[in-house]
Amino acid sequence: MTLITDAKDDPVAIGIDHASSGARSATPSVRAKRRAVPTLVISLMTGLVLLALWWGASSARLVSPVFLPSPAAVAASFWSLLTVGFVDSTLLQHVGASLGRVLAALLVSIAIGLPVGILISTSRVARGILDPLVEFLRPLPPLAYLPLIIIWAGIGEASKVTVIALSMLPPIILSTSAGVRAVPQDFINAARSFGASRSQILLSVIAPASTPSILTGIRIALGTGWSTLVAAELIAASRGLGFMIQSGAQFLVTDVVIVGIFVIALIAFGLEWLARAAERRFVPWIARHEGK
Amino acid sequence: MISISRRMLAMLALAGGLSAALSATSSFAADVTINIGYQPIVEPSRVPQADGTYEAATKAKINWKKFDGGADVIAAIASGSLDIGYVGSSPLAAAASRELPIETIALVGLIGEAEALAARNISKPQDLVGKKIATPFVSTGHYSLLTALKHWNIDPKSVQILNLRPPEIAAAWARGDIDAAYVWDPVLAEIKKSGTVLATSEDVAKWGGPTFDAWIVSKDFATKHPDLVAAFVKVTGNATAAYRANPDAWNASSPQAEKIARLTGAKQEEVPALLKGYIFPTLEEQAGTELLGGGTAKAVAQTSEFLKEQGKIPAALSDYSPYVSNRWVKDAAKLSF
Repeated sequence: MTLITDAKDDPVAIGIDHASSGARSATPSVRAKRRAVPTLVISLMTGLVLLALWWGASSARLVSPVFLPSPAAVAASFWSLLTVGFVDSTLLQHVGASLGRVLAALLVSIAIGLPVGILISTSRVARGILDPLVEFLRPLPPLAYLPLIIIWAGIGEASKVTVIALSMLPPIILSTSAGVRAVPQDFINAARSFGASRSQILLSVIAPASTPSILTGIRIALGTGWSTLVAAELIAASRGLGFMIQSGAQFLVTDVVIVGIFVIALIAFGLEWLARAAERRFVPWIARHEGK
Repeated sequence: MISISRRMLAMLALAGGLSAALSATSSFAADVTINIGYQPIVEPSRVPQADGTYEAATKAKINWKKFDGGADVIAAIASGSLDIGYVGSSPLAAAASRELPIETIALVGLIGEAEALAARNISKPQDLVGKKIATPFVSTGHYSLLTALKHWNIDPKSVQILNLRPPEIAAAWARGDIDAAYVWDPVLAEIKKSGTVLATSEDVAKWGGPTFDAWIVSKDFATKHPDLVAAFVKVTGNATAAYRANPDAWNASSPQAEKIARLTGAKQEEVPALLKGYIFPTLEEQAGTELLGGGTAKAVAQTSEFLKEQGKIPAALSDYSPYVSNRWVKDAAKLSF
């Protein structure tokens, strides 16, 4: 939503956007008061029902335990992953390796994506050069260029981080350029009239005003990066969640695969929560706006 | 669909005679499709595969699917997309330990020099510590590597074991990304040219970790089409017997070597040497208590026990005899072709 509406340079459109998002967030809260069962309870119930179905299907032996191990087996395997580990590393070591790769890729893509995004939105020439490149990279599935990256960068950490960073770059670049372009011209004019220099405008006006959009971009990038991770770890890793899942599947230890999937979902959830916390901390005016 | 050569005609004539002989005892359905997963490994049954002898003997349509490792073959059999598959003893042990409905129908060969640990710039095993060793996970190579490391008192955690398939190992070796690899021919032959061999599977067998390759069938298919399975085993056994009877005839310029090279990607002039990397037991030898009659089940049990000890599989079974049978080699011996 932010990406699309903010792309318009018209400050009036932004005003409408804020107003409408405020209105939109107000409506569900009114509806929620009328509803008897809160959404959270419905979500929890869905989870419990699914768990019960899983339990029933596996205890009734409807399918072979190779295909669907029981929740108890998965829980036991979770414990043994924590204490003993699988394929020569414990669960925490696998998680550490994967998190390290995603965070390294995030740093790389922020370091490249922020300047590129600012350039695209402020310079006509830079936009002409960089925009086609970003648009070329954006729709490519990471699995398509993974073999090429391996030929270029080998099978070490570099190639894994490169693949993840490549998938994270487009959302960061696009949201940065959209955020910078959406800064109301009035803000810039006001700062100029007080005699602000170019760098002062960039740091004190454009940077804070575009932060919400950039944070949204990072949130999206974390999502795509995390899903690319598993693909990147399929090739020549010796540690990591994707590697653990693949090895588990090859040894037909399905419970390890299921634990891996849950852990990946859990971490993605945690990262999302962190990103939202960062949003509340760094751009509190958005939250205040929504809260009203 | 197949270009008809004189050999082909001879084969068809042979198949005709064969089916006449069999028609009294069995009902070979012409519309049955057998999905067979093979691996590009240098062994005698590549020749009947190239000749279409299996199709002629079973009178079924056969989908040959190429796999680069036993783990993928097992996964395909588990999902029901394969009926018969070529696997090593280690994937077989992993699958049987998970109680997958499979059965070993015939042995291909006991692995000798066909699989080995080759390394670059490493002269003694202790230098492997901290190095990158590639091997296809779950494979016999992986198992032999773990056995060798244990024999040398090297903690597997002190080396970096990477999961790569043979073609990827060849590429990674060429790039210099890996220091060593436990892999099989024809990729092994390729990397031996610029590396030294630290241990072969023959050595590892002496250290208590024998490995072998085998054909397995999904139990469902075996129940439905026992005659097709027996015919398959018979054709495989014939190829082995032909090689055993006269190994020297399978020289570099022989049509056999050409066919094996075509299906496996090995160099034709290297085929005779690569064939010596295995000990190929005949069907009669396989039926005995040393092999399918009992010894093989014990070997699978030992392999499983080791994989469990290494934390690769969660549990091992107490008895592996339901997963190994000499019934098929015995049935095949009754067939006359």
